[in-house]
Amino acid sequence: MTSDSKPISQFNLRAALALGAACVVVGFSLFPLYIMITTALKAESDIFSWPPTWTFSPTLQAFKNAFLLFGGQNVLVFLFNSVLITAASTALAVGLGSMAAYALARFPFRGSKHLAFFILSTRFAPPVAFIVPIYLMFRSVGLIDTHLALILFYTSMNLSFVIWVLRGFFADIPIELEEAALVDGYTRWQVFLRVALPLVRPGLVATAILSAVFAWNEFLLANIITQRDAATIPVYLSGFSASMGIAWGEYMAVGFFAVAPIMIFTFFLQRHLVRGLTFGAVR
Amino acid sequence: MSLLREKRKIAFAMISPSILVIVAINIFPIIFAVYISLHLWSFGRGEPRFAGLLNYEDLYYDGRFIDAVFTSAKFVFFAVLVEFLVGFALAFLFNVKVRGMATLRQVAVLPIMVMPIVAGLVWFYMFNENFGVINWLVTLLGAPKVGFLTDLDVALFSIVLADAWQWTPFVMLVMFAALQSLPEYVYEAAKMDGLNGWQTFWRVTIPMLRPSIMIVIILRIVDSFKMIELVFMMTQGGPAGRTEVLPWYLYVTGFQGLDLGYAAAIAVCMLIIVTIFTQFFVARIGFGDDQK
Amino acid sequence: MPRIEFDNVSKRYTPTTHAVKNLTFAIENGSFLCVLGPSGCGKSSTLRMLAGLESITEGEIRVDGKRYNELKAQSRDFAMVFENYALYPHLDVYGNLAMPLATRRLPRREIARRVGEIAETLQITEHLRKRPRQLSGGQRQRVGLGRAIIRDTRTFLMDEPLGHMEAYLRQQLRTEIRRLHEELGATTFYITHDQEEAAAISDQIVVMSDGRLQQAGDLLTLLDNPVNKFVAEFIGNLPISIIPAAVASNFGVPELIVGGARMPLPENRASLIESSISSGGSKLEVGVRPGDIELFEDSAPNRLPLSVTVVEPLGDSAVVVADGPAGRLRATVPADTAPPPGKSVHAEFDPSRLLLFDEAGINIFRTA
Repeated sequence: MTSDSKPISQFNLRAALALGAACVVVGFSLFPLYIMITTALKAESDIFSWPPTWTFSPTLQAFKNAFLLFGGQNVLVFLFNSVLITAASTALAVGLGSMAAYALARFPFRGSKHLAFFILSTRFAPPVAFIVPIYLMFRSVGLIDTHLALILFYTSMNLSFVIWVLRGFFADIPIELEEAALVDGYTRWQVFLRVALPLVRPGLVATAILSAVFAWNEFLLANIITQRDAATIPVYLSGFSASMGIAWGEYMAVGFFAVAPIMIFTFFLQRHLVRGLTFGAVR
Repeated sequence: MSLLREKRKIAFAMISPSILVIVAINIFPIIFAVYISLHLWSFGRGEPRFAGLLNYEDLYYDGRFIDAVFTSAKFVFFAVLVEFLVGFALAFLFNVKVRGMATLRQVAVLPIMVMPIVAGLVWFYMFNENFGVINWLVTLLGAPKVGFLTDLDVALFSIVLADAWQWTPFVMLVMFAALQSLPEYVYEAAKMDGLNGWQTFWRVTIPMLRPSIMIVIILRIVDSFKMIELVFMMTQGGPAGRTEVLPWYLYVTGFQGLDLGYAAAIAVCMLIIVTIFTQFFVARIGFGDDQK
Repeated sequence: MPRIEFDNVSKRYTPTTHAVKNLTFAIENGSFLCVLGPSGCGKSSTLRMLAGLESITEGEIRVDGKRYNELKAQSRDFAMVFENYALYPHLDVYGNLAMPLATRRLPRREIARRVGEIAETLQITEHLRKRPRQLSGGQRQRVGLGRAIIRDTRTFLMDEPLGHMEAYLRQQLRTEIRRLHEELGATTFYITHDQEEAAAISDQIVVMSDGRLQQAGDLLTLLDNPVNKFVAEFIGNLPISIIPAAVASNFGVPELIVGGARMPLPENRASLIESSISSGGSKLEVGVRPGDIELFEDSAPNRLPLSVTVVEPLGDSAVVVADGPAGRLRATVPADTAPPPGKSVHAEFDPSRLLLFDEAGINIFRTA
């Protein structure tokens, strides 16, 4: 039974205005990204020209410079580090987090709600507050400039969010499904793996995406903890301020690769993301 | 009895890895930071010496620290103000049911995912006084070029603009989801009760959105408080400290000035500020689940 | 002039699917009209078109002679009671009751007085500070009713307001609703799928099926003079029995042949089936209500032989379900004379109260 107050026609003025305004907003959202891509494709003279050149002949020189030897630092190492650290910390965060969330949802014990809220509150601490203690801690165990250090840190930062969201999801699954499986002879572990986990897939997808994006984008701690061996893309990009703003094109090119995969990913998976988040989180 | 024990065992097994990680990486460092803050501790310059609350006393009289607190407050205030007002309005815009609006919305939301360092890089380029696009737009309108990142009074607002570019879509997304979740029947009842559009908006829509409004404002306050990438790439705290927000002051103190004890004290102050806000959040929203 | 008129109203979602088709009827001022029909028959769409919550594809709705089609719902001055109560979740009962008064700038004391009055009438004063989620279904609907009557409007639209309640609550509240209707001198447009409910509270009933109006009239008319099989089967507390029949001429006297029994017909009805005889009418069905059947032990030419299958006790009376070669019959008899299952009985119909349906289901015996 639908309630229709205004017919939706393409020639409806209100609709046209709304679409127009929305296009302006989208333009504003995409404009800096457009600048990034065009700058990456511009010859140096175009980058520094005034007024800014809107039409230019594109060149891939900047990309070549960035990905082949550039200032002694090949960006491919940074890329590899980012991918490895992101993948590992996401897998750990979702893996450990889903177990903890399940336990909190299914086996409530005295204080479990307080524990859950306590876990959530760790999300609010500003990362910058951690830089001094974490640096000293990791230095004393020799974890500085290792992949493990960042993997551990990102896993920990993401855990609170993953647990909070998935707990809501698990709590929403009707318990009868699991009870039936138990009666059929499944062990509790099998119930978790084969019955509960598949049912919270939207939540798993959503938390995985957001954990990955957080790890991929994180700058401050990566900058503090890593130098050469385990440095990630954001660290590479921050070197720009030190280079006195000359190699715009190269840095924009790398920036493009830092941003593009996430954009594409998010755009196509957004439906899952929103469903995953609002499903479990808004009650 | 054994069923309960079995459940407890499994619960313990499933939770403990996570708790272990969180305690080691999230909880312990905070305690350690408090410990460090009670010492005179410079990196690479001799042994740390216990100093009690000396660092905090120094902070109290530290003009630069007070300035940083106010700069942070200014930044958070303006950033959240802009992001909320614009994001809230946009949620209604994107709620209009027209074909294509959903796709436009999905694209409008993309800035949220951009690496903040890259956002800093691009806005740094756009804000450049000599060849930046923003100044080109300004001159198009007939005004003289502006030193967006060099002018003492403008710099902070340039950072606000860059931050708003990235996070207004977040506010829009959250409020949009909240709008969508409002039940249709309430609007029908309002119609039949004779309420016009304006009255419906103020007496029905806004009150029902209140929980989401509170959540998104608190989230943005806490998140904008942490912001450092934009300052890192665009101004490095300048000009003349006008964009030195607390995170930047902490970073500079600890990793350029190498004064770890003092930096830790700043960290503890930041944690106290955030905790006050989080408690506020709990008091208002209670124990329900929240949205990110 | 009737208060509300539906003039050939149709609602279509696509060129081929219609929710409502060519609906025409009127409601008089002060009348309580029920639109009755099974799920999906279009009654909800009808009400929502009247309320202004849905658009009208064809036809016209007039109120006091004025065309209402394009008028916004807010301006129509109807009060509505919803099936799912539609209370404002963020307001307490007081706030919900006071909301309709928001459009006028009334002083707070006046609002408080009116709310207090309504709360008294509906016995919800003790709940005034509670939120809807803290109330039971019955209490919520009382609030819904209160919200409807707090304004000065005296035309009420009710969309299956008792649909989600337990039986005893339904009885209670429908009496309330009827009482309020009479006390306020209101005009009420009420939808339901429960024919007993419609029978109990309405002055007029409009029966709908598949988007079309089947019949409009008061309960007695619908019971005794249904226009077709659908109405006959839908109305009535006890199920009507439908059995194949044929008509024949017995030496010039028209007769009804049902399951082997030959029933002569009274004068006025005999004439009605003459045209059927000449057109070779044989695909006919007879409809007979349980109260119009008498059961006898002995056979007779005008009685059907049946065998009792089940007896359903109803207190003072009982429903005897009996089967024969022609079909199944239900008859009400006094409880103490009910024949036991397995017994063979003979059923005699009251010929003046029979219904006869042709191939299309139309009641041939209907008097205009």
